[in-house]
Amino acid sequence: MRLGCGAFAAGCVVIEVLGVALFLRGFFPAPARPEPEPPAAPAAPEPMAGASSNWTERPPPLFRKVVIMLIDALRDDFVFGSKGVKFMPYTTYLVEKGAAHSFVAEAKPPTVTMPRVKALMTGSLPGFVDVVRNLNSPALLEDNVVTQAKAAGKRIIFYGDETWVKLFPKHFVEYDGTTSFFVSDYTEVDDNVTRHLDKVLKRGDWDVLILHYLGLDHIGHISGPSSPLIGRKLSEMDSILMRIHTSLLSEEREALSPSLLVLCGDHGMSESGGHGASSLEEVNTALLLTSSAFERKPGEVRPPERVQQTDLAATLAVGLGLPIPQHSVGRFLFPVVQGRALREQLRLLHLNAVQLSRLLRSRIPGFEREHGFEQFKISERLHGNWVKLYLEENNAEILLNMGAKARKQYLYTLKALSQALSSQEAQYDIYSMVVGTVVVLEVLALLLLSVPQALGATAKLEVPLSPMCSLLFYVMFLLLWAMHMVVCTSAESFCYLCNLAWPVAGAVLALVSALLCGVLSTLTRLCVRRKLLRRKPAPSHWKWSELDFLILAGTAGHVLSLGASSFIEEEHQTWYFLVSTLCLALSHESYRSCFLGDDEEPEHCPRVAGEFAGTASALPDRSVSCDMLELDQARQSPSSLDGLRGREKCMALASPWLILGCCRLLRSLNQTGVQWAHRPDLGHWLTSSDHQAELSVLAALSLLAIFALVQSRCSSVAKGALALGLLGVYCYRAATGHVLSPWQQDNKDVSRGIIEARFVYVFVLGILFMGIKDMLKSQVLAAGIPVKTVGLWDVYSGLVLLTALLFRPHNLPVLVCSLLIQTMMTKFIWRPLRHGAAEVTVMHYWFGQAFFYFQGNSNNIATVDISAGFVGLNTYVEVPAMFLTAFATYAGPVLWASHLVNFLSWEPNSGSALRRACFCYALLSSVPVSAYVVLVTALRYHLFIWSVFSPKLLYEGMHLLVTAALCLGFTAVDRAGAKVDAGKVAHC
Amino acid sequence: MKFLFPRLVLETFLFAVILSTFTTVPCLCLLGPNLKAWLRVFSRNGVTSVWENSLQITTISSFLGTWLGAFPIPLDWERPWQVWPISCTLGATFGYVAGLIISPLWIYWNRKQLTYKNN
Repeated sequence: MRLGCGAFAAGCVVIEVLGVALFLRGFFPAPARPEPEPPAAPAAPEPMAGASSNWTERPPPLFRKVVIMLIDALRDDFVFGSKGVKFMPYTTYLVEKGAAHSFVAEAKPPTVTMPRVKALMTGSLPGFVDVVRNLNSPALLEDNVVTQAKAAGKRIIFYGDETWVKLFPKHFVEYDGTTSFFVSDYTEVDDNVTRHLDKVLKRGDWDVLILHYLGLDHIGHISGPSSPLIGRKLSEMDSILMRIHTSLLSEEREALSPSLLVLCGDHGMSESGGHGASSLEEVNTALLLTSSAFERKPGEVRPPERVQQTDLAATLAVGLGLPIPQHSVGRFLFPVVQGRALREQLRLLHLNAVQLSRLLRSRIPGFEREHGFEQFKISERLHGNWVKLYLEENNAEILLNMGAKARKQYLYTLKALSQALSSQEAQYDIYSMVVGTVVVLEVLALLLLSVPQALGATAKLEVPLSPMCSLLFYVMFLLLWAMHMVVCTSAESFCYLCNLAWPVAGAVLALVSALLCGVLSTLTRLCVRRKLLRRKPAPSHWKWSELDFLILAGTAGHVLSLGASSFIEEEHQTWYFLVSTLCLALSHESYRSCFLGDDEEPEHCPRVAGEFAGTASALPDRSVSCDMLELDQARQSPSSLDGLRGREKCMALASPWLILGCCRLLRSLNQTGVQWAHRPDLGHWLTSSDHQAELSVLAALSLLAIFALVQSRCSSVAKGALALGLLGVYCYRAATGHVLSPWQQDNKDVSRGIIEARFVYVFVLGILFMGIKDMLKSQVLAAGIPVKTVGLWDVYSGLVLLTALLFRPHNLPVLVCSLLIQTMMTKFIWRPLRHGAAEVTVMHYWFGQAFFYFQGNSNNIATVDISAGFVGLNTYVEVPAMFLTAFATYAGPVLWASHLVNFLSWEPNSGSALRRACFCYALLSSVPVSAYVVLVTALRYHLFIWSVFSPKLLYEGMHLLVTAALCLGFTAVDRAGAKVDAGKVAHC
Repeated sequence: MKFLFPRLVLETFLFAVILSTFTTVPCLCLLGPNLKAWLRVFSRNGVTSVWENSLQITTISSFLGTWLGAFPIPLDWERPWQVWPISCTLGATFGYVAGLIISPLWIYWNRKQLTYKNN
């Protein structure tokens, strides 16, 4: 069976999309978050066998005041190890002899401050999905202790890392945020916190005081955990802790109600001083709770207990008498309530168990069969019996025994529930990730192995269907199925692939084995062919030009650059750099071909092509198409550069420089990225209200230029529709108040421009419909190339019109420059220099990527322009809004790809060129995706995994999806073209 | 309207001076203002003498050094030499020096194959 390499590539990309989707599903495990319940949900009443209990209120707060002293990167051995003994004498005294409970709290990766603060305050494990969910508001929306405390009327004061102020805006009655931007500063950041202490400790008008010290972490980043600076910093922290503690104690003597002092770290510190990954040093943090309410027998030794970091949120909630945060997976630290009455202990344990079981019920489908849930039912029954006995005032000893039994049962229940919940969340589903990666890599291998065939003369591929292959397939499938069974039965944590219905999982495994068979058979065929070639070596006249080297080096360099987080943040610079280099190489080539002639490189001969497009579109006649066929044949013979007349020659020499100038202008339009994003740019200047007149003029000129550049090849009806549509775009922008309207000077009220936008949509749809109709007509009636190219160009102009509508007015110059560069490149570079289809495709791809960033996009999710999804829509309608947003975001790559289709279908042999282009396009975008998938798996514990790498992964996935759609489009056009070619030959 | 004009004009100009000292000045000295000769030297198999050969190698290596010198600019190491023209200037200098070292070696190793049309 023979298959065009375009269709083959499109199929490959579609399969790759499936692989990437599976990988993403494993990488971002999305726990089914329930919608937050109404916050006024009453506390669960005490269980009771038979009648109902008389205690339905929430238990009173255990502590009057709480001070949380969070020291960034406080590793457990800084407090409990030799360093603690040496540098933190007061803390050591508290740990060993004082009224305190000490713990080693285990943080879950990513061990970075912001997710850790969230975990400490919500008790849940924040995943990336949460980051995506509240895109534009960095504020913590999930139920948490701070919000609960504020709702309960507690007055909270905060000093320290600014992250808190961003997470909890308007929560603190008083705050002073310090930035952790200057890592080299480790004294000032802490002095800024400490300077408020004296004043605050004297005042009594607060209930919760949160201090976040950054100095220790900064020292770790500068010189590591064994530096002498660490000791000094620990002593400083120890003295601060002593100050706070003595002040609290003296206050307690007056107020007679206990207060709580919490000393904790958000994450640890690795041996090199960094953090973010999951090594033992980074994960283990110190946690110390001190209060006069805690009793301690003299001489009692309490080694620090191992707990989870998420347990602190529940503990704080219990301590302050607040409801436990809804999504908390932690269990409160029981030693805290050991001094209370048994009934209160049981009551608190019950509340915690109810909260956890509710969470379990909402997250796990088969929650009734969970071990923890069964235990919960048993404990509730025991508790109920105990309460019944208690209210009947039974024998004290029986009560005590039964109570102890119920308590033990509750503690066991909480442990089981908490474990079941935390294993659910925030864990990479490695199995799904591996299967997804395998699919992606197999597709890439298949694409790479078929390069020689695809770029060969016919651009067709043999699809092997031998019995050997099918045998291999069955064996592989059985092996994989067995492996799947083993993995799924032994996996402890949640696994997406295992939870799928078995036919779906079977289909995935069959796909994997089929791809493997394809790769193996292609490989063997390649080896056989190479052996044959070695026997009779054919003279290969393929010579690498400088441009090919540049293309290869650029692609490889871009793929390699994805390993560095700064290169991802500044990826636009990579593309601008590559495009500039490309322009220089092209200018070198055009100079050489103009002045030296091409005695060495016949394939790069310039040729006359100026009038070709004009005649093709102006006279859609059959006779012309036949003439053109002859013309094409005539053009195959090498002609010299003299064909270009003087003025055109000048233009050919100047066009690379003009394109460079365009790119320079566009660079200053939108500053993106991270490092230089704050620079002033033309876009901000234009959108500021003082410069509305300039913006209006620019938008009007841009729309005119768009019309001038697009109209020449349109059919006459489309031309009119385009003009009206562009006029409608200006009206829309005038109606929404972006630009000034010349006919309504005084009318200042701003509408949403629904009518104007829909007016434009009608024209867009009309033009697209006409174009597609022309293409179909050319296919059915075999009307020849001109009708088809005109139809294609109509489709292209429809897309341009849609882009003009969706782009913000200050971005319209991007569209103009894109059209201008396309026209110049077509006329003066690609046609005269006769680049191959592969080279032209790569250039289109590079320019498409560069324009993606020229539009103002970046690899940060926050730069997606969501407003494009609301153009012409009254309310948020999901499907059109998502389509419009995606189209506006990827307008650059999509427009360049559709220009590629147009350009190649004017060419002679458009069929094979299109197939080749489709193949190259698929290969170009699947190489970075595959490399990136592997890289992200390797870097999954990197410090920037959530802030830099994950958004880029989402962008790559989306880009691959767009590419798949484009490749399918290519193939559709190619199919239409194949028939036209056949018809044309028959007709002539 | 400051953003339309390049920043660091003086630094960029000095960088251009250095780069043209490494590339254009030697070419002008050897080839003169003859555009065709320049294009011939910088095309494949267009070299006709040992001098042009070394000219080609030094020029291309200084351009390549400049090109590679731009790579570390976006990295967040916060080193003083990462600023715009400095790393490129360093790259150009190192590239030129490398070209000076490579070209005699290359000519020496390929002396048998070097048979020029003219001599």
